[in-house]
Amino acid sequence: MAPTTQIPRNQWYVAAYGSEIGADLKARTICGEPIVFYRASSGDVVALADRCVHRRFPLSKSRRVGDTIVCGYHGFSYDAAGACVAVPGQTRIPRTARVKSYPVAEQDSFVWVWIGDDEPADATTIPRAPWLAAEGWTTVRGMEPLAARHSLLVDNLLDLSHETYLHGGYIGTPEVAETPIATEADEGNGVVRVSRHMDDAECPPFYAKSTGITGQITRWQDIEYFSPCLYLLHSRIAPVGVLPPASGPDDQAFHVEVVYALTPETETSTHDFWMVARDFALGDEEVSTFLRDNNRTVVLQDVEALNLLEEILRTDGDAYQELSINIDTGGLAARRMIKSQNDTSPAATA
Amino acid sequence: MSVYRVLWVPGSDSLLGVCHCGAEHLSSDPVDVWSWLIAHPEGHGQ
Repeated sequence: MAPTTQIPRNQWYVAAYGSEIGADLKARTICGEPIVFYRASSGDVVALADRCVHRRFPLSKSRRVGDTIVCGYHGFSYDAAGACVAVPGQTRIPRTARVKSYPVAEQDSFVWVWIGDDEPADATTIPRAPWLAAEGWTTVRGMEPLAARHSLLVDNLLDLSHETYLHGGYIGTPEVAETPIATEADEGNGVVRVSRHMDDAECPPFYAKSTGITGQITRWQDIEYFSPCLYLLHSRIAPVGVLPPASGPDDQAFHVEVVYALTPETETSTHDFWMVARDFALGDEEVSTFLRDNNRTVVLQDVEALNLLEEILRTDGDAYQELSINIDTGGLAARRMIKSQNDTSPAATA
Repeated sequence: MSVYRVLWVPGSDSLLGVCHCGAEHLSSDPVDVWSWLIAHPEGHGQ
């Protein structure tokens, strides 16, 4: 049976930054499922279906009493596990009165939520991005709503040659589109890797202004995409000819970890979490502001382009033959991996 | 585990697919390279 969704289930997805979740009730739709989040008195994040079982009133529009949510419509009350503990006007609580409780894990500044069956949820399989919460790194971050499907953002991030054309003057230079890539699909670990090593490249403003390098650079882009949600771009910037030493720390280079969490909101919209972590100018607010503003501009350029593509997909339908060339090798690998995950997910096999 | 590699041959427009079994396939079309790789072991000289 063909999948009815493009979103793989039985997967961990980033639902929020940990800093977004506090005492207040927060609504966010993940993979088409409306979820309410809050931080319980224990400090743990709670994630429950954001619909009262009675008349589907959103629990996120209700109120907390201790670690219980009291529905703002008729007062059905749910504990942190989703069990209904009180209903109005009667002592008997219907046996089916509970809302779904989602497995949650906090790691590397993210709140991850498991979308799918409860049983396979194993938090040890969640991919890592340790720079985001580690000593020796400074991170700027944001999240932009994208009115385009997850697969369009995957395509965008796996082929960085578009930097030359869409992000010229920010992160794009001619060498990005001109330099051959090496691609690896690691099926066992669900990872696609794309490497582009530029030996002698122009330094784009994004790196020139943040690092202070004025001349040509050696620029490495090593992507690791942990399908379906986490994307890591290990970016190494150094004066031209400066390569990592055979042993010891690579301390003559600047390292930037550009991280994205690509979380489907619906079939045609995506939460675009973005982060830029650096191992230089630590705590320097001027550099942080520059990188935050610049990267947000770049992300919004992508958002504008992908929103346009989503609109075209909607109006044109599927009746056209796509053309792929060498630069698409990584994107094609990612598509295949997502399809494989989707083919084995419950929505496809039910 | 199954790791497939595709190398863009420097100085050319060609892609070299390298299967986990060691078989190689040269092509100018990434769709063709991936189709050949995932067809393993068919056409991989096993």
